[in-house]
Amino acid sequence: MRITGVIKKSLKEQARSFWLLLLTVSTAPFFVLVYDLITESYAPVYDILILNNDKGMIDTGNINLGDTLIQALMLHEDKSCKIGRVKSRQEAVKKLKNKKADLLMVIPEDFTGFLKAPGSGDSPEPFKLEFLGNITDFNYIITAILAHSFVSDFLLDRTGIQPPFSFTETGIGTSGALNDFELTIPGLVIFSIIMLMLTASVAMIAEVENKTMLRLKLSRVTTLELMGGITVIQVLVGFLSVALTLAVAAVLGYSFQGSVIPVLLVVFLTTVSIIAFSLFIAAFSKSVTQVLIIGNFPLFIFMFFTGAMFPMNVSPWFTIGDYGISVISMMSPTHAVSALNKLLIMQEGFTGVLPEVGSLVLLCVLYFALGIWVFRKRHMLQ
Amino acid sequence: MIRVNGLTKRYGDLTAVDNLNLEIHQGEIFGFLGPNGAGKSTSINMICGLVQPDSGQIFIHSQLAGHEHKLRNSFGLCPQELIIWPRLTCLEQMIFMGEMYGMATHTARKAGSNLLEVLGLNSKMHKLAGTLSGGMKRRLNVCLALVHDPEIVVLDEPEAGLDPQSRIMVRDFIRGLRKTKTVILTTHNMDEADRLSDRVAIIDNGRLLLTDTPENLKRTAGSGDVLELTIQIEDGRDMQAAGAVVKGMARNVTISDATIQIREKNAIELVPALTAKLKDLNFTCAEIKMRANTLEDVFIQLTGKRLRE
Repeated sequence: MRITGVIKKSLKEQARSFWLLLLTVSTAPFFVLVYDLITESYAPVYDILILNNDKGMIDTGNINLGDTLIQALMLHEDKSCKIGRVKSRQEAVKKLKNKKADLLMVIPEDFTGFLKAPGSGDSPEPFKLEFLGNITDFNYIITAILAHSFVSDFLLDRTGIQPPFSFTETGIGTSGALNDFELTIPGLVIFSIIMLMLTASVAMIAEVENKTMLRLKLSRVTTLELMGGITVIQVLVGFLSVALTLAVAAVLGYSFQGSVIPVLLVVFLTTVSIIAFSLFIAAFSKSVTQVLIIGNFPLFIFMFFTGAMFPMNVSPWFTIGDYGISVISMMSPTHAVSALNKLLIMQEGFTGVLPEVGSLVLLCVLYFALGIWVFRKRHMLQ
Repeated sequence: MIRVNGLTKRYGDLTAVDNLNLEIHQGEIFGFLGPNGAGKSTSINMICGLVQPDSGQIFIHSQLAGHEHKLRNSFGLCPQELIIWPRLTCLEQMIFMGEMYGMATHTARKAGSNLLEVLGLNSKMHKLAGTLSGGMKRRLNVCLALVHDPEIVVLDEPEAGLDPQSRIMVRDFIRGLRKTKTVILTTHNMDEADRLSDRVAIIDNGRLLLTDTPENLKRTAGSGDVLELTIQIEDGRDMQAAGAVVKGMARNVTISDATIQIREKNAIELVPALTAKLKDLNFTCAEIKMRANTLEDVFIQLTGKRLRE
């Protein structure tokens, strides 16, 4: 039967495309492994900051129940819940924006007075606690529930009744004012740049596949010149892709709010870093087909494990200032997503994204240097 | 111009080029002859600086050329394969290659236009290379090797796949390069090598067998020219008598019916004396056929096989 002939031929060809076969079948298992490693290393910790504005009551023996509340809350500290005091709102906001804390609870000035006032439980004007944070963040939501519960327990313990209190939520930046669609835009912008990985790799490998690399080698064009030229065009493609993404979002109701220049800078650096990373894919490929297979690995990892598509919370290995460096920090989109979240959602300016910009510059240089070296070794010298 | 000393290249157990020594003079067309796998391309690639030799030295203008040598710009390589950018027009890729060799855009444009015109592609200058016919692509392949006006032009099977019209055009073009450029020609085509080359190197199994002008090679090697004389036999005449006359003048003689075949180097030089002698004996030559000794004959004698084997 002819079909058996076709089966035998296909089997031989498949087995002889060993590396492609290995890459194809190992992609999904590799993802399982990576996802497990990331989730294993992530033990959630909810950080509550407290700013005590309570003036206390001097006439009754200098009592400050705000301090008492903080001490009571400190008793709830454990591995998953950290309580910290801050001296100013600015200090807290900085930590919140850098994701060093999840929520700021502001104790009002009349906190002691309210609790000491006769008949406080019947007060028509309940006192208000303020919760501040990125109210779109999942960690904020959990932390707010915890804080509300702790405060309720404290008040019940102090007064014997459930005193009327309410809390107001203040979103940092525009986090409270944006809808779900608008909140995904920073990630989608970075996603559009990540997709550049394949076109950039294809542009680079085309010279190898067409064998025109031979002519270029003879002309003594350097790898840097060749890749630099390709990069310029791919950067333009990246900007076009981002512009189209934002244009479609705008048509669907998205309103751009943020500093344009820092956003452009982040887009530029991310684009360059992705193109630089493409050098690795091109270096280990010999044809467009191989690019499409090999490229799937980093493409999906960059898409799913950098925060571009889904939020990622990974415990940092160490911090530089307030900026945490973790396993996913090795991927440039991680910093890009963080930067665009700050710029477009938290309304930060350029100084607010300096750690991300610095990281992106560093990764661009690193990717480019290594990529050029590997590409030259595999395609320009052979 | 180019001097190669003891050039050797091995790939595992295979010695692709084995102790190659040769000199290529400035302004000559130097033909590299050999079957597939003989080591022609490896030799060329080493000379061009694209492949690093395991041992040996290459001197260009008495200057030692290392791997990736700076003199690579002196070379213009026209590979056997079509190496063009299908999504660029003919002129665009000429300009691009010129720029890669450090030429100013306008200079590259001018040089590119001239070359395309010389090789009959002026009407296709602004057409995408991918849309050209096979012969036109081949001519473009040649143009791309020359846009930067290299001193040394390496043409790997330049006539392969060309229609007769294009072949004549390319052949004339290569002839036109003589004296102004040094041309290294690798080919299977003995006729091409014979017509174009000032000197020829025959290479087989990585070894250089012989280097000389095609005329000298044909004079000194190979099985010789084939001369066929058809004798008009009149009644009563003995063909053996004519044969005896011829055998007295040439060594390798075969007689069958009315035909005498002589195989001898420079057999053409025997024709006047032979016909005169036969005429003296009242034999009339009805027909004289001559097939000159070819480079292929030389090659077969040297290697024991045909070039395309």
